[in-house]
Parts: sequence; C-alpha cells; structure tokens
Amino acid sequence: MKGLKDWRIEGMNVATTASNPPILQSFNPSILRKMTELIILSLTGVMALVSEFLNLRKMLLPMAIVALSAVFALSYGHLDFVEPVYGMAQLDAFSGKFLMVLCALGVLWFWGFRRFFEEEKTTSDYFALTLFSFAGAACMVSYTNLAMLFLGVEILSIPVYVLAGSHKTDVKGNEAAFKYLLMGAFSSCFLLLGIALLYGATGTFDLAQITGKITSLTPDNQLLLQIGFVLTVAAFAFKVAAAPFHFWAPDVYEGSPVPVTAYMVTVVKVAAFAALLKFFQAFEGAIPQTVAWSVYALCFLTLMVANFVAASQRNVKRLMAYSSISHTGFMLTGIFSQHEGAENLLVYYSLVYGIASLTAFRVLWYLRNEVADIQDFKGLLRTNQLAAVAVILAMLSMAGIPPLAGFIAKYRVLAAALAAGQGWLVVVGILASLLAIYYYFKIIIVMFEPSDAAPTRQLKMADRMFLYVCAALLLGLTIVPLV
Amino acid sequence: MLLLPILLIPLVTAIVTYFSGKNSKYVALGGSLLNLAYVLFMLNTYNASGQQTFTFSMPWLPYLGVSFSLMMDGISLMLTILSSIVMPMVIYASWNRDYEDRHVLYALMMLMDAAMAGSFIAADGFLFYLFWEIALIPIYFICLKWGGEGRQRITLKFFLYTMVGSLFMLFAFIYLFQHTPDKSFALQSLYEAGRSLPVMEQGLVMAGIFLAFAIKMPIFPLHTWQPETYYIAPTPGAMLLSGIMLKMATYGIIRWLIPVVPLGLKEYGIWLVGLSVVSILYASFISIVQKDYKRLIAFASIAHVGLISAGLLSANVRGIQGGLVEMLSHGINSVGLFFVYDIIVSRTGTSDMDKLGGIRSIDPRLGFMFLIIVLGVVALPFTNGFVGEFLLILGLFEYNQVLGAFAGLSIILGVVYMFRSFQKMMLGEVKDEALNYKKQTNQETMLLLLVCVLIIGFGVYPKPILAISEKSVVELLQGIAQ
Repeated sequence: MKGLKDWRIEGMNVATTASNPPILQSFNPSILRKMTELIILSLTGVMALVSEFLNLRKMLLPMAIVALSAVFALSYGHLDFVEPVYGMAQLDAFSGKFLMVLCALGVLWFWGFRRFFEEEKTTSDYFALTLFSFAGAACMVSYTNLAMLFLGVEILSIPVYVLAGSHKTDVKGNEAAFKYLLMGAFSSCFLLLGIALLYGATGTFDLAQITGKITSLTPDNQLLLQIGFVLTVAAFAFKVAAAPFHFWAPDVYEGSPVPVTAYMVTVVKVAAFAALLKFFQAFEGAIPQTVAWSVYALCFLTLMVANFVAASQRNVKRLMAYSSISHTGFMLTGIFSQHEGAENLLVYYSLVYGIASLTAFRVLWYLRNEVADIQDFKGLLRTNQLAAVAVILAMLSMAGIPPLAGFIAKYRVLAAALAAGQGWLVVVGILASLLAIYYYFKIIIVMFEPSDAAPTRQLKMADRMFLYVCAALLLGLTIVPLV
Repeated sequence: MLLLPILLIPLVTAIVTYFSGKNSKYVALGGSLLNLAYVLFMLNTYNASGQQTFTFSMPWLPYLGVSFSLMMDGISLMLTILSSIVMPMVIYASWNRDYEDRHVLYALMMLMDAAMAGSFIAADGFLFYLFWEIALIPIYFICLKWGGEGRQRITLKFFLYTMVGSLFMLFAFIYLFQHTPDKSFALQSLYEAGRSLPVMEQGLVMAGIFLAFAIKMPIFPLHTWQPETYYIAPTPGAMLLSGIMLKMATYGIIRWLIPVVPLGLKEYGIWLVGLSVVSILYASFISIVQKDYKRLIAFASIAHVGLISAGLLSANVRGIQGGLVEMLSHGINSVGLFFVYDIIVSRTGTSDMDKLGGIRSIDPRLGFMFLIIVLGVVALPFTNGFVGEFLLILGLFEYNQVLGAFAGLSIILGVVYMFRSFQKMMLGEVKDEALNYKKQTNQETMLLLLVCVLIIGFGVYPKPILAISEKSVVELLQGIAQ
C-alpha cells in the first residue's frame, strides 16, 4: 500500500517538486514567463466573455488578431529556445513552428470570416469559444505529458462542438453538432483508454520517460504498450478523420456553418496532427512491424476511400470534406514515413493546405451559406473574377499541380515515403492525386461555363484583400518555402 | 544573371498585360518584341563570347536536392529563339479578332511563354519538370475558356493525359536522383547517375522519360488527345500548342533523354525510332483522308513531329541538327497554317474542305502565300522545311536504312495531303460558303508575308541557324561517347 503522501501519480509532478513549490502557496512570477502563450489566449477569451457588458464588442476582432499575432511572435522566439513548463508541456522549436502555423491560419480565418461574428447576436460567445479552443490547440502542440494531451484535446474540442451547432434553428446544424459531440466522446474514450494502457505498461504519463522505458519492458507490458499505442492512434484518427474513422466528417462538415467547417478543417486538424506527430515521435523506432502495418493501412484506406467517394459528390461541402480527408491521408503518410524533419514537412503541408481550404471555404461562403451544389459555382468567372481565380488557385494547389505550393507539399510527402522504402504508398498517393484532379477540376470547369446570372454582390475591400493574400501565399510558398 | 530576363520579361509582361485592360494587345506585343530583342542580344553575346554556355544557379529547396539552376548553350538558345519569334506572331495573328477578356488571354499566353522559356533553359531535373507542368496550366485555361464545342471533356482529357505522362518522367527523374552521388537533381548529376546504371535499368528510365515526351509531341499510339484538342482550341492556343509547346518534348529528347541514358538508347532506342516512324506513316495516311482542314493540320503536325523524334533519337550530329532546324521551321510553318485556317474560318465559318473552293480566284494574295507555306511544309528545296527534313532523314539513314527509307516516304505523303488541301480550298469552283469572301486585310497580309519571308530566308541561307547549335550538339554527343 502506498502512503497518503504518495497519492500523486508519478510523472504528473505538476506543482510539487523540491525546486518548485506549489503555485498557489507562493506565487512565482516565472509562471507568467513560462506560459505566456496560454495566458494570452485564455485571457483574451475571458475578455471576450466580459466584453458583453463592458461594451467592447467592436474591439473583439482586433483583440483576437493582436492576441494571435502576439502568440505568433512569442512562438518565433521559441524556435531556438526551449522552455519546459512544469513537466507538463514544453515550448520549443516544435511547438513554436506549429503555433506559428496555427496563429497564421487563425488570423486568416478571423480576417476572412469576420462576418460570422458580426451577423450574430452572440458575438462575444463565439469569440470566446474560438479563443478557448485555440488555447487547447496550444496545449496540444506543446504537451510532453499525456494528461496535458487529453486536456488539450478536450479544451480544443468542446468549444467546437458548440460552434458546430451555432445555428440553433438549422436541423442539419444540430445534427452535425450532435454527431460531432458523440463521435468526439467516442474518440475521447479511445484516447483515455490508450493513455491508461500506456500508463499501465510504463507507469508514467511523461512522453520522454515512456520513450526511455520502451526498450526495457516485459513482454506483457510490451503488449499493453502496443495496444495502448494503437488505441491512441485510433483516437487521433477519429480527430483528423482518417478512414475508417472518418464517417462523421462529411456529415459534420456539411451540417455546420461554413466558417465553423473552415475552422475544423484547418485549425482543429492541424493541432491534432501536431499532437499525433509528437506522440508518434516518442515511439519512433520502437513500433513492431505488425503495428506499423496497421498504421500504413490507415494511410492507404484514407487515400483511397476519400478520393473515390469525393469523385462522386455533387455537394461542394461534402466534396470538400472528402478532399480534406484525402489530405489527411497525405499528411499521415508524411508523418509515418519521415522521421528526420517530419515536423517541417507537416508544418509546410498544414500551412499550404490550410490556406487553400480557407480560400475555398471563403468563396463558398460568399456564394451560399447552406447546402452548396456544385452548380452554385456556375459562371463564377464571369460574375466575380477574383473569387473564381482564387478558387482556381486553391483547387490547383489542393490537386498538387505545379507551380502551386500544394505540389511541393505533396511532393515532399511522397519523396519522404519513397525514402522510407514505402514505394507502394507512393503509387497509391499518385493514383489518389490523379483521381483528385478529376473532382477538383469539376469545380473549375463549372466556373468556366457561361451563366445567365447577373454579377452577384461585390466582395468588400477587406475580403478582396483576403483573397489576394491567400492567392499570393499559394504561389509564393513555392518560391520561398520557409520550412 | 543574363538568363533571368528570359524568364522575367514574359512574366512581367503577363502581369502588366492582365492589368492593362483595353491596351492589352499593345502591351503583350510590346513585351514579346522586347523579349525577341533580348534573345537576339543573347545570341549576339553568345556568338561574341566564342559560344560559351551561360549558367545561373542559386539554392532553392536544399532538402529536396533542388536548386534553381539555369543554363543556355546553343541548343537552348535555338529553342529560345523559336519561342521568342513565334510569340509575337501569335499575338499579332489575333490582332483584329474578337476574343472576350482578351487581356486575360494575352496574360495567359505570356505566362505560358515564360514557362516554356524556362523549360528550355532549366538545368535541374526538378525545375524542368516544374516548368513543363506550369506551361500546361495556361493552355488548359485558354482552351477551356475560348475553346469550341465539347471543350470541357476534351481539355480535361488533354490535361490528364499529359499529366500522367509527365508523372512517369518525374518517376524516372526521382529514380535517377536516388542514384546520384550528391543527392541532387542537377543536370550533370542526373547525367552521371543515368550513365552509371546498368543497361536494363537505363532502358526503363528511358521508357519513363520518353512516355512523357511521346504524349506531349504526340507519338502514335498516344496521340488521341491531340487532334481533338487542336480542333477545339482557339487559333492562338492551337498555334502555341503546335508552334512551341510540343517543342518542349523534342527539346527534352535532346537534353533530358539522349545524354541521360546513352547505353539504354543504344540498346533499345530502335523501338522508339520505330514507333516514331510508324507515327509518321500513320498520321500521314490519316491526314490524306481528312475532310476538315484543321484536323488535317493536326495530323500533319503529328507526322512532322514523328520525323523530328526519329531523327533526334538516331543520336548523331545530322539527326539532332536537323531536328533543331526542323523545330524552328515547324514552329513558323504551324503559325502560317493555323493563320490561314483562321482567315478562312473568319470569312466562311467553316473549315470543312468539301464546302470550300476557289478562294484563290477571289483572293489571289492569300492563295499565293498559302502556296509558299504549303511548299515550306512539304519541304521543297529552298524552303526552311527542306533543310531540317533533309538532315533528319540523312541522320536517320545513317542510323538505320530501312527506317530511313520509310521515314522518307513522309515527304511524298506530305505532298499528297498538303496539296490536296490547297487544291480543295483554293482551286476549283467557288462554293456557296466562299461567295461573300472578303479579301484579306493588311494586317493579315503582313503576318503571312513575314511567315513567307522566314520560310524562304531560312531555306536559302540556313548556315547561321545551323551554326548556333552545331558546337553544342557536337559537345553533347562527345560527352555521351566517352
């Protein structure tokens, strides 16, 4: 029997070690320095909540953008500076890169979809929810402790469940929110069970300690570890919508309001991928062949299922959902096959994919908020040339056609797979890309068709700028790839 | 640094053209003429410096082994000259035609010009692939926006076809990349890697690369996208496709196929040459039975490119030199042929040769100039076509006499289908469609006259043209022989 004094679980040494007295007992200013990113994001979220009676509603958008920019700048500082946060998280180059991508995508998202907040009576709630989920994302990219990972996943997800159902009168929206919540709960179960088994096998929640103990496990514990690993990966597969855990995604993406869908396919997905990569890196080289094959099967299934189903979609939102799943397949392939420099690969892919998605969803939102048939794009080239060109660039980038940045991203993934000796996966990836050309071009071709529709309402100056910036990034990231 | 303007001038022109609205045609023409002037200046510098190769290199994607490397020797220069001569002609050909959003059309054309110029001077396999693919995008949109009936299906087929082909080229390059000592896509590294492979593997690499080129040119049996695409393409698009774009593939044979896999070519090259010759004969026979003038030009193009491909793959100085000259001639002649098509269709609304006739009696100037172009295409001595085709057949004969003899048939067959088209449209009785035929305008005369002058000029005095690339070709072949 352990004594009362030992109630704390090993590795979960949040507050009490010899060098670090409990936070609440004696306030240590270093906490501000150590957790600045999280504090900024959460405080801005709280500010958003109280802004309702402080009459600060107009200030919310600038505040959110300033907060994200600040986090961006702080993360840049962490690129060559490691800052452990009480054994739970660690701000370093890894978290810095991903936080920068998340902040960049976040700023673009706030910029492009700011009318989502203007239209509603519940402005401050939406702002708060978004910012809280951002805080969750920050936890997910920087965790070193599996408990922190779980916290991050939940903090990220719960606000998004609410946002998905933000159109209260919309049946599809409600269905989407409910489905998302149920499936999210499922994946949380998997995650918890996986973490518990990992703990059972190694006796710690700390990633670095787990890595250290992998090689010296008894066969029984080894099995436990493997099951735990597979369950945790399955939970991630739910979150990033990898086949065969993807069934919720098309319905949820279709039913949610467009801005929320855009948020889900960019910020949520990127954060989940960063967490998955971090998790995967901890087990690098210690995964038995059988388990590794199940992981590759995940890539294969995702690439194939997504593209075959996408090719037969007529609803653009569903099509984009499957396209997003297919990108999940590519990102998984990149993560699983490249060990050295996998994070740069993923950072680049996420950024490019995120920008293309935001562009596409922004234009989709401009065309129509609810169910969007592919015919909604008909004649767009005539009615709004800028929007059409932006969508064309986004589609070309997603299809991986040079010189758009999407090509470099896909090429890097497939080159990594080839270098890892997974030639067959490369072939699958290329077949998937070819199929993808077919459905992305379906949208492009429709835009070129003549249409009788009169020119629709013009985009506002800020939205035009948004599209210009996205288009420039999609081209510019080829020339200057940054990472 | 001298090489960058070759990319930048068309690129900047494209951007300026897009924003210049109604003046776009002047901007585009001005930009392309500026480009021509710059290329001629390069030619002068090149000759003055004793034909030294220009190079430019800077790091780009180091973790992928890719650098932004450009180079220009005589061979590249030849192709750059071709594209810079053809470009203003294409723009001028559409001078008085109605295209909606013509600023977009010209911008896309200049963008394509930049990409094609890039592929002619790229000295990095990855970069070459990139330019090769970039060139596809503008022409796809040109055909999709300004194309004819059924363009959605046909252009997508065209796009997917070429895309699949170029993926095989990319595979081959990646395979070579993995065998390079310094893990790099640089031209010389790929050469080294390719030459160090065993014969069998060289053959496979060759097949992969050739597949991409064979689709682009195109070579039988991979040509099915071409007649349809030419047919629906707007005239400037068709001119670009056949005038410049397919030369990316023939140039690729010289730069990215022959020196990379010399042993494979020696061992298995006969199959590729054979296929090219089959392509010549097949396309020629189909041309003879075509009823539509534009489809006839399309198939004639396949026949001529087949000859170029066969001559180049014979990998001797005559064959390659002939191929280079023929590329230049074919580019100019294509513009001429498609422009005649454009003139006739703008008057009569049809290119069905059975419905046309007697145009020469109404517009003798057109008849005369069309005749000169036809003579250039059928390679009559003292026209530009003759120089190229003669050298090509000579080179092919040196390589294999039987195949050479079959390829020689192409000239006779060419006479049959070209003269048949001339006879049906220009001679005979005036048919209904041609009754209200308006004579050609001065602008049209100017362009056709320019084409005729180039045809005869190159034909009578081809020496300076041959001299541009001779040294580089000899060096290239010496490099292989070692």
